[in-house]
Amino acid sequence: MSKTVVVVDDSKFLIKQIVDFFEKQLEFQVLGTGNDGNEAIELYTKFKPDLITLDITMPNKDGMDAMKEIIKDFPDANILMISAVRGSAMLECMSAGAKGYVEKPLKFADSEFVNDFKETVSEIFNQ
Amino acid sequence: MILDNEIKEKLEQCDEIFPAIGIECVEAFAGVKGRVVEPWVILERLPGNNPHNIMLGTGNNLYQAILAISFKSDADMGLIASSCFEELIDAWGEFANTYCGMLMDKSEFTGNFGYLTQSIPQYSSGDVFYSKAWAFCGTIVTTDDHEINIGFAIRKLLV
Repeated sequence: MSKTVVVVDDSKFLIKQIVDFFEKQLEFQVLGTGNDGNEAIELYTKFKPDLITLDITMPNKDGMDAMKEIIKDFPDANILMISAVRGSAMLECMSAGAKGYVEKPLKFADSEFVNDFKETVSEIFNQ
Repeated sequence: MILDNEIKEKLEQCDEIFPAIGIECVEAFAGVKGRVVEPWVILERLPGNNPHNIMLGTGNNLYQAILAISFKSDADMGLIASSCFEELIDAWGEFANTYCGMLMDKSEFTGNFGYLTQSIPQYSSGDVFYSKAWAFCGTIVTTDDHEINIGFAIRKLLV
């Protein structure tokens, strides 16, 4: 049975690319997509997917706050942050419970980037 | 308003990173190679005379800044494949977000200005009037001759 994922990003343009990647490259089943932190919490609670991807900079509730709320209710949640935010954000997310962090830009035409992304996802399920 | 020359000097120290990040983002988002044809320059104000503008505010406790991505024509803005204009705005907004994120990866930038937090990108059609602030500006020209104009203006936070 294929693994399931929920994809959350405020960019619909990027959601399409991420969904495409998970469906075609990783053979995941995409259960839903959302555009902000509130939708992330709602979708996670509803579907309890094997993985949820979260952007950080989003309107209404950002990805960092959504991640903390999901982990509070579901400590074993597999959360992959996908963000352009640099600096201490990665460490902050990982220490708050995220299982992986992928930096934008998402270079899906670059095989090295694609392999790194796949490896990051694979490591989440092998932890 | 007299501009602080210290900011201009700090921007000059980042002269290589602004166009380099632009080229990398164009390749990642549009899938085409880009190049710098005219040297990028530092201006006293962001130019706002293009019909399509994406603006992203950023800042920290010392500085406020704005990244502006603009296009002279529909064709230039249409460089990123999209199904509708709304999606195109969304894509270039994400381009702006990513550009700023990548700036924060550069010690030349963060050593001078620190880390800036990003807001949500906005689109504006028609002329835009920007406040005076030193701005590093230039154009990335793609192999198929589309032009992406990028400008980053920054000033000390007014308190």
